[in-house]
This record gives sequence, structure tokens and C-alpha cells, in this order.
Amino acid sequence: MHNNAKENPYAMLNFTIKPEKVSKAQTIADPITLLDTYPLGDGAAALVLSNKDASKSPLAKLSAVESATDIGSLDLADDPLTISSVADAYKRLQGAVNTDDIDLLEVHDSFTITGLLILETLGIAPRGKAAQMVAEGWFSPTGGKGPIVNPSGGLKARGHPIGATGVYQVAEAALQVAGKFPGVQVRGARKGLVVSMNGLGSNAFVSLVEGV
Amino acid sequence: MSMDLSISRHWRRKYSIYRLQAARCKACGRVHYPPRPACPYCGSRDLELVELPKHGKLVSFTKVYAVPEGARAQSPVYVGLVDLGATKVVAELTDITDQTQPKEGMEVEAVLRRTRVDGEAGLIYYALKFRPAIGVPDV
Repeated sequence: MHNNAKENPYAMLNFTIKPEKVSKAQTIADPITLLDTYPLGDGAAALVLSNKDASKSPLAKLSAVESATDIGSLDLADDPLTISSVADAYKRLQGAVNTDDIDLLEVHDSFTITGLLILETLGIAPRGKAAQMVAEGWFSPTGGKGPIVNPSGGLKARGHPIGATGVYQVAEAALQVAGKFPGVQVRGARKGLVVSMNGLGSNAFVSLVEGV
Repeated sequence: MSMDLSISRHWRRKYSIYRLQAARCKACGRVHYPPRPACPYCGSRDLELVELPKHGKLVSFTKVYAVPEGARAQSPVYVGLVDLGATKVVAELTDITDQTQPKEGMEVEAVLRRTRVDGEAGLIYYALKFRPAIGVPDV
């Protein structure tokens, strides 16, 4: 996921990394190293929203946005390996729109583990298997298996300017389904799923962006 | 010299910090720590204060190297997720030596220890930490 940032002109850490480099980086909180965490930085992103009658040449359609909240605490959660707010928001989204055949996802990988847990929470990877699947090349633009995850490079590589991050993600998904993303462009992308959350998931927003 | 922590805030939280005082919801029966005005699980405000056991099992842990000023002397700091039965708590682990490296499932017990010092003339803060259980009750 991080390596996709190499092609992204908006990415803060636009270089590729190897597993050894991550494990040898400075330890922040064992086993999380510096390269498992997002870089601190500023950024700005914007979306112009309108109803379909007002816009003559829309880039994309924001089909649905759903949200949910949770306790957002490691000790109070029954299962610290499932992000309940993401699961609930995604369930609501599935009730509102058709989420089959997703071409790409932009997920909130503030840390390596957060991105993996989101994939498992969504059911895109079976529980406990996301890390192995990513290592095997799943979800990569060249792997050809599963939807492409974080073609932007994700929070750890594109950057995580907190409040602007969710808007970045939706803007990136909109450019993807319009075929206009300046970095790794998912070929023929029609449907993008965006998962935004804060902290340990005290709230989550899940959006579906579709091509027009 | 400035003080990072509020003395009055620490004082208000003394029972949860020093005695592991938690709250049990009378509506759904679930326990949470530290006590909040409403149950985080069902929202009921009908709560009673209960004291948590001082002995539990380590669910998971980490070793933190990015330690705030005032606690640098203790760096790196071990932080554990401890299952006390009624609920889980996140707490610092202490008395970790080469022989007592933390392991998932390890038995741990609460002990009163210093956490940080607020500058040269500031307050010295204490809290319950958890150490590998040696079967000698300390608090």
C-alpha cells in the first residue's frame, strides 16, 4: 500500500519501502516502528459538492456516506481486533447502496495495523490473514487479486493531516473513478470505497464514490 | 517551569488511580474503568462504584520508546492490556527484568509505583502499575 505513493505527486513520503527497512526503523512502541506510523505534516484537500442537476461536468458521484460511533477504547472493547464503528458504518452503507464489485479502497491506515484491521473488519481479508495477503501481493496494482487498496499510498505515505485526511481520501477516490488520478491509476475503476475513522475508531465514516 | 498535569484533576481521580475503582452498570451489568457519568455500553446513568481485583492476566503489551518528559528515566516503558475479569484496563507494567519478560497470558498483580515527576519542584505522581505476579499482595 505504501509503495503506491511513489507515483503520487501529492504524497509526503513518495518512495517505496522494503519490509527490512520497516523492521529496522526506530521503534516507537514495540513492535510498531517509525515506518509503521504516519508522518506528521500539513495538507489541504477540497471537494466541490452539488446536486446532479446543477453540475454540467461532474467528476464522480458520491453515492452514499454512512457513519457510526463506538467506545474507541482498547480496554473497553470486547474485541480489540475488530473496529466496531467501521463494521457498523459499512453495514449501513451496504443497506443503502450496492457495494459489489468495488475496484479500489482508500482506507485509514494511520498505522500498518490499523489498515490491516480495517481490511479484516470489512471482510475483504479473513480475520488474521490481512498481513499475509498484502505480503503475497493481494490488493496491489500489480497483484491482480482483490480490489486495489490505497492506490494513493495511504495515510502512512500520502500523509495524515488529521482533519483534511478524510477529504483527501474521497477526492482521491473521485479522481480514480474519473480516470484522472495523477499517481497509480486503477484501470477502468468505477467504484471506490473510502473508510475514514479517528483514533481507535471512536467514529467512522464509510463512503461510496462511483464513476459517472 | 510549568506543570503539565493538573493537581486537582489527579486528586479527583485518586480512587480510580490508587484503588482501581470502576463502575458497574445497574441496567446492563457491565463494568467499565475508569468510572464515567454514563455506561459506555448501554448509556444508562444508573451506576455503582466497585473496586476491581488487583490480580489479572496480561492480554497484550507493548514497549514504548516515545516517553514523555518527566518519565524518561524509566524509558522504555512497558504498557499492558490487563484482563481483571470484570473488565480490562490499560496500565503500565513494572519490575520487568530479563527473567520476567512479559508474555501474553502472564499473571500480573497491582503495585503502587511512581509514574512521573512534574519538573524539579513539581508533584511526584503515583499510580497502580502491574508487575509479574509473585503472589505477595501489595495493595
